[in-house]
Amino acid sequence: MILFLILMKNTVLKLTQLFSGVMVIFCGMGLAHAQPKVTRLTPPSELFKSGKSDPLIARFLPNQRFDLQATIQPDESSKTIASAIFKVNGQEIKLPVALKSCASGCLSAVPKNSTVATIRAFSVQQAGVHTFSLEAIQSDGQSIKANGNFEIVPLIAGGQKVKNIIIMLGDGMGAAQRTAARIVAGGYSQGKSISTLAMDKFPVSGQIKTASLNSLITDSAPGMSAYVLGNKNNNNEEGVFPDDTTDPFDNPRIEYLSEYLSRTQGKALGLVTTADVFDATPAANAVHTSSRGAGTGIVDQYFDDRKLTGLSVLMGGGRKWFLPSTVPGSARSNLNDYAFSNVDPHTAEIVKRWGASEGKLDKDRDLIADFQTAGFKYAADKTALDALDISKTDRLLGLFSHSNMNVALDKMDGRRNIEKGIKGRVVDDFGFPDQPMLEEMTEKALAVLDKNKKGFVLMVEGASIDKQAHSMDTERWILDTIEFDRAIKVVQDYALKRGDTLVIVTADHECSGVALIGGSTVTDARLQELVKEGGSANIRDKVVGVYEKAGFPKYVIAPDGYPKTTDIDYRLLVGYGANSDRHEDWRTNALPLQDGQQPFVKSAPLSAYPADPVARDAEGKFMITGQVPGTSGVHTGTDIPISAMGPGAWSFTGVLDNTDVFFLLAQASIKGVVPPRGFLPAK
Amino acid sequence: MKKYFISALLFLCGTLQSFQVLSQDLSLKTNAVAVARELPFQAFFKTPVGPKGLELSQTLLQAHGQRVRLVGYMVDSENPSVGHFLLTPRAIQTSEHADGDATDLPASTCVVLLDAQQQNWTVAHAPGPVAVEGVFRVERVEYPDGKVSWFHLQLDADATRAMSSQEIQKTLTTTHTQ
Repeated sequence: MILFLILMKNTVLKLTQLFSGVMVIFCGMGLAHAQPKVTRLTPPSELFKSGKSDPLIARFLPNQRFDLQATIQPDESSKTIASAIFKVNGQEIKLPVALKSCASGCLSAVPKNSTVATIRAFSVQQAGVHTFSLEAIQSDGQSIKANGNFEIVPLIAGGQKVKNIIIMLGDGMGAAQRTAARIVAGGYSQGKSISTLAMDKFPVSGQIKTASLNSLITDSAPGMSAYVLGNKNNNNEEGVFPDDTTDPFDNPRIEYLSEYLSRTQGKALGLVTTADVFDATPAANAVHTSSRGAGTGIVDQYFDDRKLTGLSVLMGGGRKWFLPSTVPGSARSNLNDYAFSNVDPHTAEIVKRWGASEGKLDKDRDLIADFQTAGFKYAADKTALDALDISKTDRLLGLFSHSNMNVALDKMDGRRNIEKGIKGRVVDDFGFPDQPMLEEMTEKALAVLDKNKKGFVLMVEGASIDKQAHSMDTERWILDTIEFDRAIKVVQDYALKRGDTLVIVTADHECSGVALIGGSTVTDARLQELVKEGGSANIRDKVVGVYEKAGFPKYVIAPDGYPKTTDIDYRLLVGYGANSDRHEDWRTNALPLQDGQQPFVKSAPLSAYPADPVARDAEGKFMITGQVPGTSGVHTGTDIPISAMGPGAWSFTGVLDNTDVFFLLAQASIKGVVPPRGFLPAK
Repeated sequence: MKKYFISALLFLCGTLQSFQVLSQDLSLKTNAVAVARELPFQAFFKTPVGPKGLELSQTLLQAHGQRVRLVGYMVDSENPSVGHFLLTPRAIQTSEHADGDATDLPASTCVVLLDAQQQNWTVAHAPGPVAVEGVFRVERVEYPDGKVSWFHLQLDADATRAMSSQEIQKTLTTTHTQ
């Protein structure tokens, strides 16, 4: 009986404990449910995400401006957020906090009664790691708090201050792309390169980690912006942190290097690209948007905020964004333009605090005319560019094609009058037969920017190294890398003459997993025969020479600096590690695989144009199965090289995060050149 | 998992089959009508392009409202369009994953509209040139995503009606659940 009672007691106890436990869980759930919460805190931090203080995600220069933002979600749909303040190191920030209701204009997953609280254009002078917090009060009086952290990176008093910064950005240019260009342009003999690339002559090299804020595999927007923000952006976003609103132009901003140096030193900004100027890489130097495709707003912001960025030179393709919507071919639309409210503080504070333009939905704007009225000289082709009187040119706009410019191979064929197009030269097919080469644009950009006594930041992009690597069009990206290197030679000569200019050569990411796999063991004539016979037994087994059979392919360079032909005997062979399905015959593709951004091509016979990498080179029936879906090669997460020359160059050694580059550039420009990390005297 | 795999295979097979049949069928349908005038993409604008805008050719302007036959390539995009597809003078694939929302289309891109009864249809991409025929319009149209099109071709209802459900997916979602 006693035993029974004990058992009963234990059972009751256990049931009671179980009930209590369930109640605790239930109450706990209830309590958790009853708490409003901060679902996003910006700048992004590991502290907010996981509670750990490392790694430090957001870093800024002393007095570099950035926005603070939080998305706050009430615990019940009937409640709202009444107020919010931000604190840094426990001290309230005495700046206006704009509260935006998510009743409209927020992402669909965000409850309608959520609030986005923002302080615009905040900055901190004091170096070190800072904790910041958001404290909000719900309409029923409940409070909520969340913490994050960021670092203000100290600048050290150094030696010579760099006057000019030049960033040479080979889009998608990994180590293999550089090596391929060296082999084709310079040649090898007995294991030694006969002549090297200009970028090979830079005295300092390092390695860059390229991941973006939200992916190991970056795209060009955060790939570029990391170098000029010191911070990671999400893919497809430039100059901003991610947010919960649908407006692509209202995201929390980070001050660009161009804006910082224009504000503090009066430096000018130049952007030169072979792509459409609205494309991610150039835009990620001057435009703040979460949508790299918002073309109308992007080009408008170039112009509208030119006094913030110091924009003085803008060259590339992309005329379609500058034409009033009434002009045929114009791509301008109010749906991808920007206009800030002068009433709603959420965006009004961007205008007030950042000094940014309020913008306007103005698809009928004639942006070329606006640039001209503001003192920019306009060049529509190489002839006009050559004719510029630099002594009378302080600002320059060059728009040499409707969207992307033609690639180097096709531009050079145009200059050599080689007719590979449907009816004549490929550049004629596109309607823009007189496009400048990148080095010619770079030369003019330097001449104009050099007139600014306070110095400049210049970004020059070899854009189609990436675009042609996506298409796995080997010869086209190799020649674009050579074109890019010729532009590097121009800035190298400029920097050597001056001694006050820091130049870096790098990429935003690698593209398509390019690998130099060997050399052809046959002549081009024999290769063509093997292609006709077809199949891997012929095109692979009888052609691909590895190890000592690769030899040293020898391309003959014409006086214009490019190979006389890329279809040589015993040619260089390239494989792709991030490839889609494709046919391969190793020979130069007579026509570009694709360029969707050009308005004019001859349509007959259309079958002359290959549809995609599978359709191209199909004659040989040598199909290479892709490792990625779709029809394009893809960006890779492989580290990329960086080379540097000029004062401050020695800091660009070792393995760097892409955001480190920003702080090294800023250090050299603001406080002067210091020894590289590891060589600094101990404190 | 197995069911999903089989569904995916069926979808893939259906898509591949549709590539072949669609291209042929469109040509056959359009070839059957003889009254349409040929409108080459190369005749759209005056070339070379001047320092600013594009100048529409007389040939193009005269084609407005007329029945034309247009030969080009279907744009191969990662996000297929519903109720229409895009036709361009060059083979184009848009790589949204690589290029974000950047539009990668030429100014001469023609929006080929399916019949009103087929507005929820997605036409699978067909590699190689296709010929389409219908009433052509020159008109600036702005789409909800901000993309602008200047040229449109309204397909006849029977240009696609005869195709089986395997050849044209009503929507990708529908196909996935088959």
